[in-house]
Amino acid sequence: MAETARRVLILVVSGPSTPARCAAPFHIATLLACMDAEVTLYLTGEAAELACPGVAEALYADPDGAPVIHFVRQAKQAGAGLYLCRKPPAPGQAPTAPEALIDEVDDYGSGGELAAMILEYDKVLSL
Amino acid sequence: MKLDGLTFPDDRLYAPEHNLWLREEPDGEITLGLSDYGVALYGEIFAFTPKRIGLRIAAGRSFGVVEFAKAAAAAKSPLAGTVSAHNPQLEQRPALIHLDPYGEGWMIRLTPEDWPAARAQLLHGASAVAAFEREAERDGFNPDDTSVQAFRRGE
Repeated sequence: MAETARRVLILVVSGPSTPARCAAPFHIATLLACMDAEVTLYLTGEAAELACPGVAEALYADPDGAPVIHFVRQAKQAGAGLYLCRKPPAPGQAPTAPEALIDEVDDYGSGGELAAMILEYDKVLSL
Repeated sequence: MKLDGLTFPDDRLYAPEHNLWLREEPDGEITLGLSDYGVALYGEIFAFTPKRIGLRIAAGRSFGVVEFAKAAAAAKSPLAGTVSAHNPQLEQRPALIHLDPYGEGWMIRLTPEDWPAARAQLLHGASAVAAFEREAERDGFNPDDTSVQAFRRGE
């Protein structure tokens, strides 16, 4: 029985208001990638704040544990992709520049692109 | 870099790039386990989840995931084969992987697809130790870190 690689999309919706939930999406992504799944993490809603420099460094899911950025980096090292849902810019403001994001972000896209990914992937999780 | 204190028994083969040892069993099955260097690198292991029996694993692909303090890593097979057995003891005592890596802590057995070709790529003896030392150099492994010996003693 040959194994077929699965594509898993994880919608990361937890952010700084619920720090205890912020490590799990990235840890699950690490485990899935270690099992040879093709994993994409998509930061959306409040989770988009994790892509701002300094936020994930200062956030702890467990006060005695590692900062959330540790779990982000581990997922990246295991092979997961990290994408960010781009908010429409406020009237009169420029869109978020890629250089204003942490280095771990691979790319960012629109809500429509996210919708297309949801339809395309084998599994979609919301964490 | 010297890996003082770590052992690499001569009666088996090694895949240093995957931190593993391998042994051909009398029935032709191949047993895989974590090497002493892998144990030193990962530290205390609290879970190992193997892929299911009967699944074909391509060379270089994961046969399971190892979870240790604050991290996880894919256990990648250096050879192609089909999962034929899991170590049943690890379900209850995954710590056997670091407590007895060359004995009761074996991880998985594979039915190899082309063992002669795979065996030719594996190392043993001094060449294996030298390769592990190169891996340690690349990993930035600190040989002065005595935590491995400490957790083996249960400290």
